[in-house]
Amino acid sequence: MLMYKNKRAQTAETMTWVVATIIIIVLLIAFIYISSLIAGAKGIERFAKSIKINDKTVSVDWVEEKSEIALDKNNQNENQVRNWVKT
Amino acid sequence: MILNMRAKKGTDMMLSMYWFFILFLVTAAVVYMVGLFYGHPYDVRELEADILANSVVDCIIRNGELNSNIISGGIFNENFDSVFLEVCNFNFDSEDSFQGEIQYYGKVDIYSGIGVQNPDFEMKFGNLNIASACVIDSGKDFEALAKCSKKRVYATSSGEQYFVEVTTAVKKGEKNVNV
Repeated sequence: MLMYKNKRAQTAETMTWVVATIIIIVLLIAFIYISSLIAGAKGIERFAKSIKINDKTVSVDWVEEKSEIALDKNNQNENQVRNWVKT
Repeated sequence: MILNMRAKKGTDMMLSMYWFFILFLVTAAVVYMVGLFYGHPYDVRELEADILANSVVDCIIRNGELNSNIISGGIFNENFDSVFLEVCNFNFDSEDSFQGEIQYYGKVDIYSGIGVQNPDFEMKFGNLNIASACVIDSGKDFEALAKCSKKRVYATSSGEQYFVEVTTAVKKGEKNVNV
């Protein structure tokens, strides 16, 4: 009877370790997968196209500024021109 | 009693071996994760294409006016592409690792009005084989091919309105994506 109980305890302990090992391995695989996803998504932030000055958003995109300078010289169909530049 | 102590010693040894195995497993996984993260290259081609497009725009439009090398007296200089690299100070010589293959492509279209189908002036430069990437530009298969940038700028020349569209592409897939 004592031996039978001892064997049951041993089996339970072994099962605990087996389950613990499986959990550790699954967690490691999950972490590796997540880090590969993050590695694939990493990138360099692009430079700002606008900045906020006194709660007003001001464009700092100098390509857009070139259009603004040209509009100062000829502003015929201004709205259409602005829309075309932005699309 | 001696038998019991021996059994306990054996169990302890097994347990410490198990912990060493787990420790090794976790360390190996951490090293692999760090390698995976830092081994993955940064894809800067889109930024590079943007910078190239900005430089092209800066060269062909100054103070809101089209460069006099492109248009003079309302007439476009069709031979501008032959002097383009010199006028704009561009050098598309590729590094040795690309075996001389040019890694850049660019196109400049100038329209005389909005909604005009055919450009009044068109110029292409660099590696024309990359151009298809800017049309397709979707799907993972084309990611390795090239990244594109498109800029639209309004300009004038002798009081006339012109609409400039600059498209640029950078290949360099080998250095920016894991293929």
